[in-house]
Amino acid sequence: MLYEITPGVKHRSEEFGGVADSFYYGTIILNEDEYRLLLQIESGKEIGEEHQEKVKEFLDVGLISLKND
Amino acid sequence: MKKIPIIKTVIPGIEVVKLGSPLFAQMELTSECPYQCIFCYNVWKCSDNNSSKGMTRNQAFFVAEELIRCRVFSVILSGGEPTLKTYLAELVKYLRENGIDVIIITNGALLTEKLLHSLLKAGLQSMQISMHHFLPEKMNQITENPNSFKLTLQGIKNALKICGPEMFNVNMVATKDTVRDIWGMGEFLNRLGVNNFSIGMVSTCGQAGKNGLVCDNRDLEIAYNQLRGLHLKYGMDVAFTGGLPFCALPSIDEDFVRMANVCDAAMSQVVIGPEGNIRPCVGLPDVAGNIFTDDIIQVWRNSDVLNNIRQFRNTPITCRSCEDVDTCHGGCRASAQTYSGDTLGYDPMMPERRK
Repeated sequence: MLYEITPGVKHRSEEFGGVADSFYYGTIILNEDEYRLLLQIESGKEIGEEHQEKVKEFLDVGLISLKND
Repeated sequence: MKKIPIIKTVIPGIEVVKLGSPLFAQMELTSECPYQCIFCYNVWKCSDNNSSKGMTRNQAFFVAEELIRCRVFSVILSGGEPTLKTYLAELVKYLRENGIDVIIITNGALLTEKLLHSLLKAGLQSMQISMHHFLPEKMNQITENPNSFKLTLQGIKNALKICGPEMFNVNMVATKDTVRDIWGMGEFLNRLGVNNFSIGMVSTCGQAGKNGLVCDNRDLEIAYNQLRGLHLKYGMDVAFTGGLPFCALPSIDEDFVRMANVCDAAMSQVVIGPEGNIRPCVGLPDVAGNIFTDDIIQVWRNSDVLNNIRQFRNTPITCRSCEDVDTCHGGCRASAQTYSGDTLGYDPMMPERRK
């Protein structure tokens, strides 16, 4: 599966990891590992099986969506 | 892994994430406005020192640069009336080029087709147009301007023509006097072709308190039922704006009525006033610093005005044991403070107010 940052979602790095804002969910605080994963998704890198649970969480809060090819 | 920096609050078990800089900002470009709404929330209108007419072009662009440095996600441009500023479209363009979302709050009086074209070209994403009644005499009375109904109506028509109905919402401030007119307002807007309609329950900040327009939680239910009906009958996208105390809310079905109900004052949002004053929100008069003389990031991190809010020091004592306190904060603290004269007072919407 390929994912992308949902259109309209804003994010930025912070001292501890990151913070993101989705229109539907509001402000979301991400720890360092979560934020790194978000950046990986943004750069279009393949996401390994070990991150599937976190990817599902990101999908649930609207941070990322399935990429339409 | 680094530990997330937090701020401990005065409520045991409640902690707040410490952000390095604000995520959202509101720029009040000017204190001038062709309308003088009887419930205007602009707190500086009540000040004897309200001599500033607002930001010059250079000042506005300086503020924009500071907000870009803060890496904010979005900026609301308001006033007073922001369309009075001739640099408005230029400012929108500059913010958009730097990846910042921009929203304008306007009374619509000056929304000509030409201005709307230039705002669209600049990349404006969203607008809120304030219109407070569907009867001309009532609207003109509320705004203390004999032409306001005609002017705002034309602005809405222009926005529908140039931008389309999805780009803006019309916001009506409901008061004790007009809360039963929401249905009529919704039908009026629906006939025009407006789809997004929101209600802001009157805030006691600024002028409303002294004019006897303050609502309570029963008025909120009256408002909710009309909004719900408008959605069901006409399919309108309806919402409440502003921070409302959770205990005052009727049983709200968010499939029908959207809520923008989490107060982010000082948590993730900051307001820059017409004279550059940095405040936690549009309703609180407390000044944390001035963007033209102080480093906004240092103010954000160190100001007692902002830290007191983050630490829930202005949340009523009885609210502190409520399970919703971390998101509700005790309702609109600005409205509560103005209404009661006490930083720990109750929001006038709360049922406790009547005890």
